[in-house]
Amino acid sequence: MIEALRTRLRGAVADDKATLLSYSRDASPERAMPLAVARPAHEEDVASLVAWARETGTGLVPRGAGTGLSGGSVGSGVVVDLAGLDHLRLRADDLVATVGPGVVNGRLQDALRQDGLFWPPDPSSRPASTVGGNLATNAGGPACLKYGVTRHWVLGLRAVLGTGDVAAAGSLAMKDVAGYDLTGLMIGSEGTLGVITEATLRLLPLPPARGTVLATYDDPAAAAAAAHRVRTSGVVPEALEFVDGPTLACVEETFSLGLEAGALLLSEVAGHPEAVAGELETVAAALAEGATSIETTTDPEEGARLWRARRAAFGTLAHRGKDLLVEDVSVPLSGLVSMVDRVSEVAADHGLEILVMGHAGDGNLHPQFVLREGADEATRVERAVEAIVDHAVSLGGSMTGEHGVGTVKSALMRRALDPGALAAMRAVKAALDPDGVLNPGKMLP
Amino acid sequence: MRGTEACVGCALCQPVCPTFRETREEGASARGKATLIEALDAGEIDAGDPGLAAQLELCTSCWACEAACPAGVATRDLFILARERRAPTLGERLLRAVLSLVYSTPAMARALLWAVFLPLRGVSIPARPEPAVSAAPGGDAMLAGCLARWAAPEAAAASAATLDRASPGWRPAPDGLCCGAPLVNNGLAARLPTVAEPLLEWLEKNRPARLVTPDATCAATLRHEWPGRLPGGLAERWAVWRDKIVGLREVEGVRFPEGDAVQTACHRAHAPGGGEPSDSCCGFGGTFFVRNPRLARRIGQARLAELGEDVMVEGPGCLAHLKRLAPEGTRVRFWAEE
Repeated sequence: MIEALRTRLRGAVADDKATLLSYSRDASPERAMPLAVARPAHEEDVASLVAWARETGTGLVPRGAGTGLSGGSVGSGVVVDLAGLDHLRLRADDLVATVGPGVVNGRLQDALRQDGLFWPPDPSSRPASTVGGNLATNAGGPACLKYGVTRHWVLGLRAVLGTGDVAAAGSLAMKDVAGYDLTGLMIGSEGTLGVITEATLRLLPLPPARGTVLATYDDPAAAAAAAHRVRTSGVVPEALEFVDGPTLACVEETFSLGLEAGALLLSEVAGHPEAVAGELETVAAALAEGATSIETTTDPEEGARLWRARRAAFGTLAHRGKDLLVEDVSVPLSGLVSMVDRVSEVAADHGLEILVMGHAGDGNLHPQFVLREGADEATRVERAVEAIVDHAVSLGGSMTGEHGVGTVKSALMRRALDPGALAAMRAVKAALDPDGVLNPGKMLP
Repeated sequence: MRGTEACVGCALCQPVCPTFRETREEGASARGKATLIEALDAGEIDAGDPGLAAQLELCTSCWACEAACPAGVATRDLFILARERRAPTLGERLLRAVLSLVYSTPAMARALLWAVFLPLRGVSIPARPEPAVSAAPGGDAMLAGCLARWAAPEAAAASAATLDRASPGWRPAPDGLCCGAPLVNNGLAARLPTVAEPLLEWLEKNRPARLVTPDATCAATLRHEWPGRLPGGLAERWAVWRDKIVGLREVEGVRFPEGDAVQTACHRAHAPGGGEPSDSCCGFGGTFFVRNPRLARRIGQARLAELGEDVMVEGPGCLAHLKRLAPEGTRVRFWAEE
């Protein structure tokens, strides 16, 4: 069967054990041995793969860099490694770039920087993750607060649908309301409706100046109140990040940054130098009330220093146990404190260590589970995740803000989504992937 | 030591990995290798599996992955150990036999390394780097390193001139004395005593104040690989010398020139306490260049395209590699060259 596939592709197909093993995981705890790893060389290869998958009833698992946290790029079918589709064409006059899905976000930013441009989506996986993966998961990141999510920065795309048809959606134009928003539908569909083979990205000029402010508080409630003041201050910062006290204590153990506190907020403004000076003042004033310490800077090196506690948090927690499970819920702004409180309750109830950081500005929080392979830990974690998701949904929030559903959260869809909405999603899936060959078992329960 | 179980799978090792950047194959990245080693531990893959061998060798040993890993996985130790554990193929046995022969005695190393590096250097008999004034008792000594000595003699000459200014009266370590980095990186760490014994004997007899080397790989191997890998008696004798190993650019009075287009020495930048990580390995990687010559060339060419037309190189091996690949009009020079 794999031999037959090989003859149909220009790109390579590997099925040796070592290759299969190395593609058996991503950044989630999920593991699955694929049947083969195909590396399409162009869009025609992707179309051939879909045709072959429909003929043989084999699942295809599209994969970028495998940095997803929900198991979306792991599966037992044929993993489609899209690294080879890495063309990049910049249309600087239009502030647009047309790229293959395999282009690494960080490399794209390096290339754009030379023309004074950038593409706003900034997931923390940015140095490694691909544009295709960012689109498939509608990736977020700190800068979503100002710019919105990945979906807002894509003007159009090409995809091979599960029907085998190639669809070119959208255009090069900034405004385009012709028909259904097929581009928007494909973005965030986690490879379950089509395989994206090209994307037209909307770009922005790089802001010439930046300002950073770091503030600490006695408790998350004081930080949440400050975050709300920032959000109503008339300034939209590029980032407004939150780190809880226990995470800070862990960072402090390793780095001694002098940041012992009950909560930390970090905000960044970016733009014209004169605007940055004024905006930084406004944001700092909004953060100052109730703060136990506050520092501001417009110096890039100092700025990097202020970011250190936030940036080091992931690595510090990754060092803490045997493994780290990064959860992802999203709540309305008013629900921030309630969500943080609920996480510590849940942690105590289930005998787990769960620390919280995330994006205070848009209510997207990441409870981080420090795993130690204790007795029945897997079950306790599952229960805790359910309790946290239930609370987010009860506050009017979402079961996932930016990491996606994949297999890790697929079972929670029924708890968290309206039955009518789920039925409509199934109808879309049936129409665009009638044989169910695209990323089977992902997202829809 | 943080083992493969500590890997959280974040893939931040991918963008810093020279072989991954060029091949975009998961097995080239440290995450892919960690997964394979985990499978090897669990008995899910055979130690003689040819795919396992090929993926473990898709590594220039630049250790950028270890410097970039947020979870602190000890990739250097893990990968070196895995190379020792995998069952050697016929070609691998041949390579190991050659390496064992080359590093069996200083005389053999002298004779054979001159020949081994012919393709990188061209036919010439490089002059031995000598101090301008004769050695003073209690002065420094310099170990030029096999690569500077036989692959990039201009680096050895420039290093000698630099040390003449900073620490006149130094003495050269005799040709053939070696840190044994190729042994460590090719699953032959057990043979380190054959290179450690003659170097220790010379140091103990001549008692230089410090052993200076322009090659960051020699410095890193002597400082970080020897202490944990030498057997008891040798390890004890080495403890006296370990902190007297000094990189040439660290010698007081030596100025490392600032510049944009610098090919950093990975083994200085990625050693414990090395500072800013290197932008990228040049693709040389010692025996990596022998095992994967085409990939080594591709990585080097891609690196040259990034660096531009005037490239300053910190490592002697990287210098020989990039010089050989440099297109016409591109100047590649050693940092200590005038």
